[in-house]
Amino acid sequence: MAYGTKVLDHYENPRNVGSFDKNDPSIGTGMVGAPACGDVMKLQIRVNDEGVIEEARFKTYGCGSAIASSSLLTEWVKGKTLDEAGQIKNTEIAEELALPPVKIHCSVLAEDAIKAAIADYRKKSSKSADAA
Amino acid sequence: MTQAERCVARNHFELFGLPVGYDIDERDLARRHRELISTCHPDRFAQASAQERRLAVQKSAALNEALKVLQDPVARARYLLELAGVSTGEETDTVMDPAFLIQQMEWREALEENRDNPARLSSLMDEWTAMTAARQRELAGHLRAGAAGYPQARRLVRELQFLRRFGDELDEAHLET
Amino acid sequence: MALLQISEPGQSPMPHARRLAAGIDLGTTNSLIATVDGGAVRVLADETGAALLPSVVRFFDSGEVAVGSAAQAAEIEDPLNTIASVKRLMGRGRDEVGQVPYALADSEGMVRLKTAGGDKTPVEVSAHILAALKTRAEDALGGPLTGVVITVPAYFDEAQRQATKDAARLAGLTVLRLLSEPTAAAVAYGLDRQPEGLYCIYDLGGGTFDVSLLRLSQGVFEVLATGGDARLGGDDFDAAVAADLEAHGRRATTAESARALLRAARTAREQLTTQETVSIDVPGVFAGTLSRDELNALIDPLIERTLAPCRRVLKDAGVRVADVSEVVLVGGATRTPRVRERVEGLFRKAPLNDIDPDQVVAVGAARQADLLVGNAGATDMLLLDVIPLSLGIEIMGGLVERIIPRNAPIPTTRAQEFTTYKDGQTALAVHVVQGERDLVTDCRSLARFTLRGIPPMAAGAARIRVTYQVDADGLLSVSAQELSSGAESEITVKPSYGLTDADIERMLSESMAHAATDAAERAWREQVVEADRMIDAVLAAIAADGRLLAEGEGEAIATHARALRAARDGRDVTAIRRAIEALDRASAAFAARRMDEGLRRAMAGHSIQEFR
Repeated sequence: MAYGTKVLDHYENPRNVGSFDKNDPSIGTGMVGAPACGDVMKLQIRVNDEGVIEEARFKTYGCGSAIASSSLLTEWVKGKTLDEAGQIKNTEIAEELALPPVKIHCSVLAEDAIKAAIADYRKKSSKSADAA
Repeated sequence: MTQAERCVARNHFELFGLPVGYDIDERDLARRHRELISTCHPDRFAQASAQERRLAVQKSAALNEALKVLQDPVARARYLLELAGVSTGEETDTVMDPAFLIQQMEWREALEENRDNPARLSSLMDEWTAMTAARQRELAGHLRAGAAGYPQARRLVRELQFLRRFGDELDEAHLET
Repeated sequence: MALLQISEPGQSPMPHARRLAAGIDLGTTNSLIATVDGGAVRVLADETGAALLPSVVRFFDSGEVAVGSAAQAAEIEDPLNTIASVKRLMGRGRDEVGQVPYALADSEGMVRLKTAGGDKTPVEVSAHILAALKTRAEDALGGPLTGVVITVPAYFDEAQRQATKDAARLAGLTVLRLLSEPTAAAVAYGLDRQPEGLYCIYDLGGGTFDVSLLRLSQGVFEVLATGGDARLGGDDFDAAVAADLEAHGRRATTAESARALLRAARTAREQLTTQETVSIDVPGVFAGTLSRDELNALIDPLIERTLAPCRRVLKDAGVRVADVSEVVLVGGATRTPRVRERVEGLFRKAPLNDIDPDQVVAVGAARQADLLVGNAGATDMLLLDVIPLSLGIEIMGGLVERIIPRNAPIPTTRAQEFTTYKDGQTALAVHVVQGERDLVTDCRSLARFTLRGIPPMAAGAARIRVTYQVDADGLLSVSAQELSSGAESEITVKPSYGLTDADIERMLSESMAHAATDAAERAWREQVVEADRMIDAVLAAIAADGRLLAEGEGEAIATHARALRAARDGRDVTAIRRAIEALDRASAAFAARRMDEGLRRAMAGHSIQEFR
């Protein structure tokens, strides 16, 4: 199996680990969990006024594939618009990291996390628009 | 492989001569397992043909697998739901109660920050024990209620997976201190 | 009964003939063989009356080999050709063995030692020890051994177990079971005759440390959890003492003086069992005294390293110290008083030590061997074991996906589904590792299995079920099937640190013991034995449970049994093997039904008992 070393690299040197203040209106937070491994993933995005993701951070308690999936995702979404980021499919992550079938759920988790973060940001910004 | 599949019992409960249901006397289960494996363990076929030795390994493995599922409350619950056609979707369904996930995240953060703090570790252990016991009690109640209890039982099985994972990590942390 | 006509007079096994069986403790420092004789276990001694065979083998350039004390005597004079503590090298690669006082050959896979007699694997060295014990037993018992039980540390991984079994095969022994040493010790103490209890076996040998927690109930021993350190033993105590002597004296610079120093260290440690202080003199290195307190301080950190696995085992089994009924001490290093003190301190109970800790394992193995060959009068016990280390497969170039967790009862199987990544892909590789860590590099590589013969399909369309099976000896086998076509994959195994079947064949044909009989002859004989077994088993099955036969099944089985009998009388190995396979296929369903019937009866008996 000629797998690359990408997963290992993202696992050993995860990018963008950390968190933002979840009450900041420019921040969207997605929190998801994968019962299969008992993994918990928190993914946060900072969005500018043009609706572009400037930065992403994550905190994942889980197996190597879940950590690698979230690390990769934070790199991918940076500079993307919310719509573009919302298009990312778990299969792209699985393919990039060459996840085997038993670990596909980790990429599903990452896809669901970014969707949840985008939804959270939109909910917040529509609220603040209402208030204004 | 065909022999392995041609098993007398239709499910793990039947294999042990038990009614399908959540409530199990673990000592009784262990005793039944011992009696059954005594008849088909490879050691009973040490002088037999290769065919019988192969079958003995397969049967014993099946008994061990069935025991593993039935003696563990969460695995047993998942198996009961599966027999009833309810998938727990642990591989594919990532939608969990947000409050539950936040609490799980907090526990994990607390563990990470208190690895050298035995007092905090043991208070975490207490919290974990209490929450696990409460959810297992709840799970038993829903499964006794039959089909009406399945949706809640499904949720609890999924949540208990997170608790188990955290419990393992707590144990590891305890052993390290 | 046409079916029975294929059995000829004199062909059926004599049910009452006592079969010769033995238990072997293949130790790091010493090895022993024992047998059950007239209901009592007898440890067999050599002609000088010594029961312990030093696990030392010396190779000469003439091709001759010396084993035991004769070899041990040459340790200092001929260190490079005199191999001791080879158990530590079993199933290990060159990069894993660290410092050894021997010349290592450049080799992939299992380490090879350069000797005057040629390059030798640890398997071959161990085979010489086993062959010496076999000869000892067959001389003493006056006949060939039907089978043996060989003990291994509970903590031995799959590669180490396989290496042990391969060594037995090279020595011409039939292995009935690889038994974990602690379980054997519990059997020796007759703990199987107790009604019930939890037993902790603390086994500190020359080179390995094992701790196991066993539960006994109704004659069934279950290993609940096991742990240990495959590279920690009394030898390390000696090394610690030796290093301290060097630190207070001068460094031993030659192989000879290093060995003399180690020997002095061991003697000092042994003497400090009964004395408070000893004097030591190793010319050129150290002259002075060592007290028991000084010894205790030196070995305390090593003993502490044995207590951590004890705590872990209790935790793994979910058991408290107070729940443990007895603690049994095994292994020569447990004679050291400090070890007893520390063990007693942890378990808060005086450990059992009245059977010679050097012999206790062989004694238990002999009892199990006697039972497994079916000798009447053997206690009806059953020993259930667990896998000591998790099995996993490599995923994504470096991470481990666990497939069977440690302490899972064995035998066990686990199936996983894979798919193909490319259109028309017909092969798949699975790398199996053993260990508890998340990175492949932190685990032990066991083998790479290559599956071939997957029907060509679009990427992702093939569904390949890979089944991992671990047998009662803790040995792994892998099978694979493509689910949509039902095609069985052909599997080739490349053990990472083990021998392939071809290696073993070559060694067998090269070895002195087998020079007279060539490989073909042996292969033929093995097939004949299996053919006879198979025919006897099928006939006995039909006689006992003929009512379980389906319509026409009995006739089909009988036809194939007759064909096998005919093939068995010829010299064509392939024909015999094919006939065995044909009879196997014809009778497999019937055999499965019989086993299920056995289970049903056991269950029925259970319900009746409960009813009372």
